[in-house]
Amino acid sequence: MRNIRKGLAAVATVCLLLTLGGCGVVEEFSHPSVERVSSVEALVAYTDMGYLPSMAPEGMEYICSLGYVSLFADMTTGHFAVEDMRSGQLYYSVPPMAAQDENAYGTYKKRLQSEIWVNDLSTDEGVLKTRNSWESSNEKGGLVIERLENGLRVWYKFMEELYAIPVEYTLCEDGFRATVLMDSIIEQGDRQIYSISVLPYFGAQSGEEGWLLVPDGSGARIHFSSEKQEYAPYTQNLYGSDYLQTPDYMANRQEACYLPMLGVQGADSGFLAIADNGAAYGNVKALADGQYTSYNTAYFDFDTRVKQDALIGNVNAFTNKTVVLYEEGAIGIGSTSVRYCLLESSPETGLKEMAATARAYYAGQEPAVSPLTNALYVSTAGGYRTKTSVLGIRMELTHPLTTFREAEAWLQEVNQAGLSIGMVYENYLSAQLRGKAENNLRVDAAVGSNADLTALLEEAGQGQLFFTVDPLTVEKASWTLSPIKTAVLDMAAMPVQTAAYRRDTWFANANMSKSYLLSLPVATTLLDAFVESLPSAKAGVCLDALGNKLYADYAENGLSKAEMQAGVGDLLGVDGRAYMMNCANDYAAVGAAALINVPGYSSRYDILDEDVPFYQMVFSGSRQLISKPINSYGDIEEEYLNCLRNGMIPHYQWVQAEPSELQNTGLESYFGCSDTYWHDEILTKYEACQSLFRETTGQAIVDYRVLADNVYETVWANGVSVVVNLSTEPYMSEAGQVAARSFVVVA
Amino acid sequence: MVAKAAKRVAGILALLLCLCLSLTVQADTPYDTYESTVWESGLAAPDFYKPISGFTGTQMGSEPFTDAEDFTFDKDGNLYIVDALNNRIGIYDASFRFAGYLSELHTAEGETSRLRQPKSLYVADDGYLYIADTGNSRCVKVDKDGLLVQSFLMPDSASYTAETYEPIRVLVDANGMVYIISDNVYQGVLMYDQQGVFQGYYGSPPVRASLKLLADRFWKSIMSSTQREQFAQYVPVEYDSMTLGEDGYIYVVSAYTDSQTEQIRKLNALGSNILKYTKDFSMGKTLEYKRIKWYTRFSDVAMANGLIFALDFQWQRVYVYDSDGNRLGVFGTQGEQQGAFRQAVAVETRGNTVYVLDKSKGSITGFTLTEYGATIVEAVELYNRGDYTEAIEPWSRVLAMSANNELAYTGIAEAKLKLGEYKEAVEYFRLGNSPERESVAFSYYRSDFLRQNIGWVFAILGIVLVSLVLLTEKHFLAFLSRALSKAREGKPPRRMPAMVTAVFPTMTSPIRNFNELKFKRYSSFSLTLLVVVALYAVHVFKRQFYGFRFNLYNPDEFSLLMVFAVTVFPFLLFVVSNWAVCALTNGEGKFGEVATFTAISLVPYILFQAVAVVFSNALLLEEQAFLSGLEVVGVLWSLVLFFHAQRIVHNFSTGKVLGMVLLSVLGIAVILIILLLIFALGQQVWYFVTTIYSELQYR
Repeated sequence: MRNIRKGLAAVATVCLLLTLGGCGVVEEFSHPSVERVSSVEALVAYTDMGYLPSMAPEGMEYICSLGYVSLFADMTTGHFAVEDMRSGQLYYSVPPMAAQDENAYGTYKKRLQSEIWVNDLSTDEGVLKTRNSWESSNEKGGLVIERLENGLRVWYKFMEELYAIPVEYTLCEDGFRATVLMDSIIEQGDRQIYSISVLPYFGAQSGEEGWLLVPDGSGARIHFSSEKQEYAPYTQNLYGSDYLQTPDYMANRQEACYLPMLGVQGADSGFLAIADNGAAYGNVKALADGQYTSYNTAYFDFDTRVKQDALIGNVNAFTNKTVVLYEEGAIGIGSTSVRYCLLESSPETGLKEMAATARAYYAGQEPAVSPLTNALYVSTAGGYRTKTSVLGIRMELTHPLTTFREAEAWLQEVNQAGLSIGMVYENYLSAQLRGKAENNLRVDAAVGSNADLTALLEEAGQGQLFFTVDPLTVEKASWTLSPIKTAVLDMAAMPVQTAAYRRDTWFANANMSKSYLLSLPVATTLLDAFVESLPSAKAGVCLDALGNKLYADYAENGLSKAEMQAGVGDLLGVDGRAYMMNCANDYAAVGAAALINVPGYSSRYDILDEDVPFYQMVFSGSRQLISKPINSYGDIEEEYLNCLRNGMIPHYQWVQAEPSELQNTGLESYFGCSDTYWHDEILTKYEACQSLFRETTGQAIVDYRVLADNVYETVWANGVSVVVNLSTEPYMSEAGQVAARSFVVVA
Repeated sequence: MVAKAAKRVAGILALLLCLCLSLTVQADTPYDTYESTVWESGLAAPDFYKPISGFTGTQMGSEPFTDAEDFTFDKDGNLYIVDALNNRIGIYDASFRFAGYLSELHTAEGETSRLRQPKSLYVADDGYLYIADTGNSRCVKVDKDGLLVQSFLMPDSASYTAETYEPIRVLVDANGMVYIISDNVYQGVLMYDQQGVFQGYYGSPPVRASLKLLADRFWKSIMSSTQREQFAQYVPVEYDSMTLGEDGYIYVVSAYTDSQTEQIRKLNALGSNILKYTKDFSMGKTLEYKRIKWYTRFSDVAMANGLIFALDFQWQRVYVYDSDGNRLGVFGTQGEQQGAFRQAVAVETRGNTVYVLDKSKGSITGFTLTEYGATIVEAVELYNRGDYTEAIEPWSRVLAMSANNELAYTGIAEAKLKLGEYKEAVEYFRLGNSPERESVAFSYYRSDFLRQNIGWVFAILGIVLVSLVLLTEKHFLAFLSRALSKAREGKPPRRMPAMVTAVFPTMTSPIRNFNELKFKRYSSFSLTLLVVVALYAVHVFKRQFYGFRFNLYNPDEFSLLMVFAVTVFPFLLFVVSNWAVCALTNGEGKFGEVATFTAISLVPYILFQAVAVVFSNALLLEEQAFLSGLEVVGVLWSLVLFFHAQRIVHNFSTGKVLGMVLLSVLGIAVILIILLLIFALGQQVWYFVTTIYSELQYR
């Protein structure tokens, strides 16, 4: 089968070469070719929206217009510019003064003038090298430009490396789209393409005013001229790294990029770029001025092949070695595309505009349930498994933390007092606690009986109680499932296992079992079975990892990352039940009624200047956004205020057990949440913030402003806003004084 | 051009202002904080310190510092950064604005010289700078304008044996004495007076005795001189850094200690380490991964507000200790995030903020206490002042945030003890894993208990003792047998169990009873099994139920296999080996006899161990001698029985018994070696097969 595919690929390659160059032999690569496209007749044409394009920039000619956008290009160099006809603002594919940049030298100057960068690997040398289209294609006469109905198609022929990459630049209503035709890439030599950066310096800015937006965690900005040249450039995988690649150790914690978006905001214009196809293989990169050039830029980079580290030999032996495996075939996703939405915005309004654009992008994908109305959430754990020794006999027992009866008593107290507090219940299933497949509602006897569970469900209101389930990982076999047989395979056809990491040494925790990673079809089956076993439609389901763990499966009929992304996106909202996702990537977040553990920060890379609640602004409204557990932070009061600053519903962990019962549990959370201390505190915090969330139910966050140092204002669509003062001094806002480390709701 | 530069400077100033004002910048940290307990390390905990700001040279308005080795603050809060590669000191004001460079020095006579690869500096309270001018092999005392006041050169002393003089750290104490750490000098810190005269060594680190050292010393004694030269030399470890504590003591750190202890030392006037719990100044548990051991390696130390901050370059973390050596928290990690480091080289404090210099990033990052950290520090201060009851509130808040904090349990326990709530105090001390203090609390609790129940205690003790005495008396057992027979109304007397008739009398009259047993050619599989099971059980009980104050093992973490390996397995090995050896040397004991007699001789040991388990729950730490005595008596008693059992069962002389026992031990070694070889071979085959399999998978 594989040989047939290879054969077909070879035939396709030959055909494409014939189409491209004529006779399909390597020597033909040396002929430069530029198609001149006449465009004079279109120069004075108004678009259907009534906009008139400006005169073409020097050296460029008019190509086409659509909506309020027009395209100009230099048909010799392939550089182009997009005009926002509303303002007359031009966005260049590379900075027009790139060649004169005093801060760029050597290769970096060439890169500054390139529309694409390519990482390729020599199959002989095994070394990855970065090429740029200016040096490897333009200067060597390898550029082929075709004119399309609404844009251009440019073939970047890398003359020495012997591959050609077609990229289409086409206009759309609110901007333009850059599409890399991945399936049409031609590779003739021994170099294989591993990633392509698209328009790395498109719309790059070198002024004092402005910022870059990266979707890291909640979102973060890099301000221009912030003197960050000593720090590393920003680079992150979209949706996190492939979950099947278990690293040797984990030294630091960081957020993922949950949205396939980035933004560049200059003094009087900006754009939001959305990777609307191929995001599963995308990376977000950003460079601040002073880092190689004078320009600030953010761009997407797409993997075309995947690599994976593999360990050969005994894991504990000194003689073992790690080898890098590269995927032989290219990722079969047809194309990757980035949509650039042009904005008439200033540094002050840019975030608001970008969030509105992003919300519009996801419009129509809202969850099919009514908005939830809880104004605070507690998550609680039924129990945990602990290994103990009874007269030398090693036993694994369930130690209860909050039984069903105790949870019911809590809900009863809350409901009788008329409080809208939701509850997320985890670690309650027999299978969950034992690391087996979670495909039914068989509860652990130590946590309670089925009758207790029924009583708990009866006490809970609609959308008040969520049961957590993780259908992605399984430690042990059960009569329904053999984890090894159903586990995802990596490139070396080995079943993939995930590990927990020690906080002190960073290496995998040998005391904790590794989990097998299940393929999506198996996970879906488990989830369906679990949901079916839920006795009441009132009970919501909280999906732990499904929405934020993206991975490929290299089994014979396995799914690619892109297929998994699509599969998860289709999973929710089919049964009218309220689903809660654990801080999900965009494709999963759109269908969720609530998103929990939403990050209030970015990864805080050195290069990042400021965290912004971009994720919250995009998904607020029809979905509830719930913070990470506030009482797991070192600064609890500050975290509560931050939660409000980000427009998120506060979330606390709570268990009925005494504090001493939380000692040495080995749990990564639930280390400081005993009812003894937190019962009253949670109710007090609820009282303080419930009016804000009652008034903003179903409303989107439309604006976020920094009023002063450590003073913020978050505004909802209905005009309600909250001013949060995190500073140690009182702040006088338009609505009155906001005490230090406090907040005020402005109706 | 000028306008652009002005705009740029304005931008930098605005940025600086923003950075300086941002004292309460909200932040999530890139590192996982953890707590450690006696049994477990790496337990989840909230953050202790959090990063609040980061500055590069460019952001502060200077050129980037590309190879910064050290930094310090003067008493006005001005910052000095030692930029070794650029041969200069960068000076910044208290708001981190660039003020100028110091690179050229001049004397009052007008002679000039340049700094060359300076590694460290110290700013004295009188404003003078002491610079370790490493590349010029000197330390210098200069004023802020670069006027060279004094040089501290290589000591002209016979005691100075190093070939080079490369100062890497310098400080001055309140008396004006100058302390210098020089590379490759292992005798201690070099001490100079203000006139630059070498006064001797200070705080010479000792060479710790270890088994390896003793073994090497033995080998050296039989080696030739050439071989000896090639052999490892044992010299004291060098100090890597030092700081002058607010208490006036000098704190020094060694990245590489010979035993991973005393990595931080607090030196008194005599140069001796007076830090209370020096053994705890390592990670406690080291990680072995791929056969490489990862130790904590402290490369710098700072002190402020009673806290010791030790920078670990191995893990790129800062560990925070109180003055008693209790680890309060940890922060920092590797990485490109704020609060993570590529190559952290120095730590300093200013006010309540801790600053860390990253040589590779060319940046300084400030950290401040979180609410959790501040609560701990508040509680520790109250605790150290002896205000235990006042400390109960902050300790409770600490527990509310982290149930894994052992210090909090101990703190609350101290308060409970002071309040006379002894039972609760005992419970909290146990949760805090503090056996010494638990013992104190238990002494009060026990006194109360005994006062209320003294009658019952003595009655139970009396009954147990009388029973033991009677069980070892043969006549009493015969009497008991007859009485039982009578009670059964003339039916034939039931035989007393072998455990009773063969074992207990033998304990008190071993020669007579072993001879009787030998005469009867007595061997009993069931008796042997019973004793071996009892031996096993008593060890299991000892692991599980030994008093908290004396138990060195985690009662929840032991396996039957391990107990088997140290009890039943040695017994079986010895019996097999002894029988085999003695059979070859005309020993008369049969296998069953050897096993039975050896088992009988173990009975006193088992009984005394059982009694010790019971007593360990009622005795205090200072009464440990009684417990040890009890166990020693059991062992000696068993040894006496064992000797007679060997002599009688094999019909050997005393000397031959000793010889045969030694040979039996050798036999055990041979058996173990054979088992080990089989195991190692099996393991190699397994690895070979799995490696081939995985290689095939990857091809």
